[in-house]
Amino acid sequence: MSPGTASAPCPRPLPNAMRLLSLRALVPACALCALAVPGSARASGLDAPIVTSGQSHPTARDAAAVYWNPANLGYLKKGEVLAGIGLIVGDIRYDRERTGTYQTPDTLQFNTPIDPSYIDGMKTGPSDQVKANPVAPSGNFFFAYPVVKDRLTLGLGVYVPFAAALKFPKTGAQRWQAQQAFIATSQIHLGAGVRINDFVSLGAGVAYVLGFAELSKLQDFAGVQEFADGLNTLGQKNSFGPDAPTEVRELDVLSRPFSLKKAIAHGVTFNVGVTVNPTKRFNIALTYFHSTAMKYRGKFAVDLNDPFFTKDLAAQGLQFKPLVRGDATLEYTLPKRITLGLGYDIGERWRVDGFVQYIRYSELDAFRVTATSPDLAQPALGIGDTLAVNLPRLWKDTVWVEASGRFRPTERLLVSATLGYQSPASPEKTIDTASPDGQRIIGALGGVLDVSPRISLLADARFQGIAPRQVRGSDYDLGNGTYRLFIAAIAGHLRARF
Amino acid sequence: MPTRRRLTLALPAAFALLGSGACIDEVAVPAAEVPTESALGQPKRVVLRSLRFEVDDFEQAVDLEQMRKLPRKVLDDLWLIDFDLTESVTVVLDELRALPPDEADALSPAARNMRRLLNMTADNVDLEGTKLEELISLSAAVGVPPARALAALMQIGVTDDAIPPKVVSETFLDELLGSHPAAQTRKGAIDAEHPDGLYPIAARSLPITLGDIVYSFESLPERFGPASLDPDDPNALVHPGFVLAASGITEDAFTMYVRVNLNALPYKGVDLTTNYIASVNSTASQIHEVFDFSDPEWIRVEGLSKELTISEMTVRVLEDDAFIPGGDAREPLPTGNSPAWDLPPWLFERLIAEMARRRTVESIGPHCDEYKLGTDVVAFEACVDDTGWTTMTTFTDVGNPPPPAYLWDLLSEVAQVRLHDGGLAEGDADVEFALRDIVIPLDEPAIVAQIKANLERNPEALIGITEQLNDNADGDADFYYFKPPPTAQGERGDYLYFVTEADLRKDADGLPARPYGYERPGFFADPDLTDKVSSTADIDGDATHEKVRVAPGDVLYVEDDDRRRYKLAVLDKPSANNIALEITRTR
Repeated sequence: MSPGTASAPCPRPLPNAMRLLSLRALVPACALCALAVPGSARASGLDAPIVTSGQSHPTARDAAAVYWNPANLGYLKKGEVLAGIGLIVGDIRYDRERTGTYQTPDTLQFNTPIDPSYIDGMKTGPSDQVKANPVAPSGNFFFAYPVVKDRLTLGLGVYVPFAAALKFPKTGAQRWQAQQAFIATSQIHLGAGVRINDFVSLGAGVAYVLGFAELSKLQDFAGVQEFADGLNTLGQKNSFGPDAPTEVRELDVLSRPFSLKKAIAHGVTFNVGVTVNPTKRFNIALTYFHSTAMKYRGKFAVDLNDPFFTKDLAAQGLQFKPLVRGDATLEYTLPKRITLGLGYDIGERWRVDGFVQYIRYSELDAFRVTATSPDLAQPALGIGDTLAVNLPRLWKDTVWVEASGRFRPTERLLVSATLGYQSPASPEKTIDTASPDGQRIIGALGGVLDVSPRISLLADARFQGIAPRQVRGSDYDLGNGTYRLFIAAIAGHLRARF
Repeated sequence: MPTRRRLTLALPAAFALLGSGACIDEVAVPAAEVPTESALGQPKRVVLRSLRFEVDDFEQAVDLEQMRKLPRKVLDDLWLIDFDLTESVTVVLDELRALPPDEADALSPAARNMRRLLNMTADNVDLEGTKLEELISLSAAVGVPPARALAALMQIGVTDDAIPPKVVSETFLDELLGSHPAAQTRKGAIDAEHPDGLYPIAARSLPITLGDIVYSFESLPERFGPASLDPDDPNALVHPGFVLAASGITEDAFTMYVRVNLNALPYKGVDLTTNYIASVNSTASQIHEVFDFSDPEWIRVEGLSKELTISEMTVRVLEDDAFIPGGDAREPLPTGNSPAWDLPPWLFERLIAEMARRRTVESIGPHCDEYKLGTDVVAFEACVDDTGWTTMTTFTDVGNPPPPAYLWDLLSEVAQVRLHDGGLAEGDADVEFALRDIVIPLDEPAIVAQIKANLERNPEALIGITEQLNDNADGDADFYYFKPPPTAQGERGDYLYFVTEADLRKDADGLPARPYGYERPGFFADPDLTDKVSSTADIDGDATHEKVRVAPGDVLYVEDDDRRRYKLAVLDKPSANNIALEITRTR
């Protein structure tokens, strides 16, 4: 039996092991820094949704095709359930290296040029390394059933394409970008595949996307336009705002603890696919996954419990409550992507497959964030109850390439190995610790044990990492330094056919 | 939570629960600490910071409404200009004199008296009952009307004013206004030239304060009402005042803009009683650097009408209860011996004597008038010498001449007597005039320039209003932390400053919120407070505070205004511009 043929109940290639720790997902949450320094929320630049077992991919014929390529649902001859859980652990390290000039953090000079006597000569160069070791679980469930034999198969998928948890030291050098973050995005996907004939199948699906995000960081008010405008209202020329130079950033009094909690987003998207089988051994898949408009709605809180904000300038109209709470939204669009997959069976025991995915991350040029609370309003300074911030992202389109080899040493056992590469979305200008990003190399091992003709157990181990990425061109010195990332994931699935 | 919301949260929440450390920490702030009295022997750590928020050209706009919210004292202490009233009073007296009789009848008796005084001429004055009464018969003897003789004596025409309004107004202003304490000096900054903080007010001028403009001159009757010439002496003369009522008109659009350059943040200190971290308004300590006088726009005014109008100001002059005769001797020079000169300068008799004297000295030169009989024989002669001494001599048997006297004595007596025509008793002939619609022309550039000049000489005048506009005092610190800015010349380091009276928090009326009750201000090296280690040495321009430079490891002792004593231990610095102290109440 060919390990890769669509019709055989044999194991499928492992296109993508569970890759739950997609740090890109952090980006939107971090973007809520929105209130904060624009540009402080950076993308990881690595987006390759971890959806299914490693044996699923664009040319695989299994229940997970609802996500990868619904056209392949049309080739399912039996009903199938595929369910699994996974665990991802990561090691993310950042050695910040400040290249800018900073003033002494416990001062408050707000207009450049800063008198040299206020410059902190020690605040330059390397900082202590910070690291996060996120651990995140994930799970998925897929179901497919041929409602019209050899013609039409319907599928259902519930999966978590993004999940990540980060806990950096609260006092680390990255604290203006992220201290803690948690993100999980799940999708409920309905699809259908229509087998035209043995050579061509078509498919489509629609998915409901549910996002959940929480984040905490230090909000640097030096980068907030409204704060700059408020000072301008008082006739005070200042260097604050999104383009604030390093000389006025990261001041103690303006660095306020901020959190976004319970931010929920709903979205809808769809995908379509076509599979062409020029020969029985050779499969070609082409899929398109549409973009998803996401709007997170949550609660924010910012600690303004400093006399500077609460009473010292009250006579000038600056007087916040010590703790300001309110509603926050974050809007962005998940990009569309197009995938070309190829698979070829080499004899009865070997199969090779792979895919190239092109992701239009350049569509994501900014995050739009608003925070609303009556307690934000400072009428004398012209600050209303809503702060709106556009965070330039300037992401680049990315490419994800993977190739897998699968070998069946026995009738009941299949093993696979995968190598892959993802290009970064974040340019040097916008990278930061919220989404460490770089040229990512992917490796995976997988195995399938057919316990019975109907039941199979799937196991996957997946690793990915970036070569230490040294960044020197970060805007406003927010993300300069060296990034290191290594992620390991293990997953187990149960597949039942009926 | 609505069911829909619960469902919405369910899935992601499940992930959150599965993941270690999935949920992030809440942002929370500690509950505000309720100040409680510090207990004996229980140390408490406090951190004080020196943070500067240096604003440049910060224009503070203060309109009338905002000004009315400022403490009255602040407004009244901000002197703007001395307005010379001479022209205004002269015009008013001219108008009063020219008032038609039917309108004059409606005046108060005192105002009618004033009008009568102004209208006195040689022609209409009756010399009967005065020392010049003899002039009536002498004139008759030589066939000359007494009016003519009197006019000749005064070197005027018979219908000319005996005392011109200008003389009246100047005398009123010099004597009546000028003798009032509120018109002599005003408060200002204490400096080498004004060690008592008192500044002279220009002659014949009304000092105008911001309070006058904001409150439409309503305080004039109080300021220029009865006032002791020496408040410390219960037996001192009391000036009766001369403004009965006043009101003014100020444009609602009036707004004053002041540009300041200052550290807008307060100094952080400690109220030892509770260890509360208090804020001390830093404005006063910076006042000499707050205004950039080289900037022509450092102060500007908008909405200033072209004229400021005092709609009514009534001036009343009291008459002495006794008739004050004119003098009859040259001595003492130069006024003679009339009891009028011993009267306070605000009484009518004194004023009228002064008017007459001025009239004589300023307008009447030495001369002799001879009056001849039809036979061309000189019957009598009236001479006024260069001191005003007037002698009349008869050479025939035409009668007795009036006794010699200074001309002003003769004239003032005439005025006194004539005021009592109609049966007025002595003491009832008060005179009064109302200044209505006194128009103070406001040439805006000129007046702003004058205000600027005044305030540039005395920027301290703006301390009050600037402090109020930058009101950031909080609590009642006993001492505070000061660190000279790194840009400052001279000594660097961390200092503790013991508060002075100027540092006390102000209440809603602009007055200190508490008395300055320190018996031993300053910092000491020993618990018995015998070894003072602080001084008022000049640090960054301050030479008024007791201050001491501190470093980690130092131990100091202080006493608060409740006579409690404390030990201050200086701990390691948390950061460059912060200090940490351990405070322990010892007594």
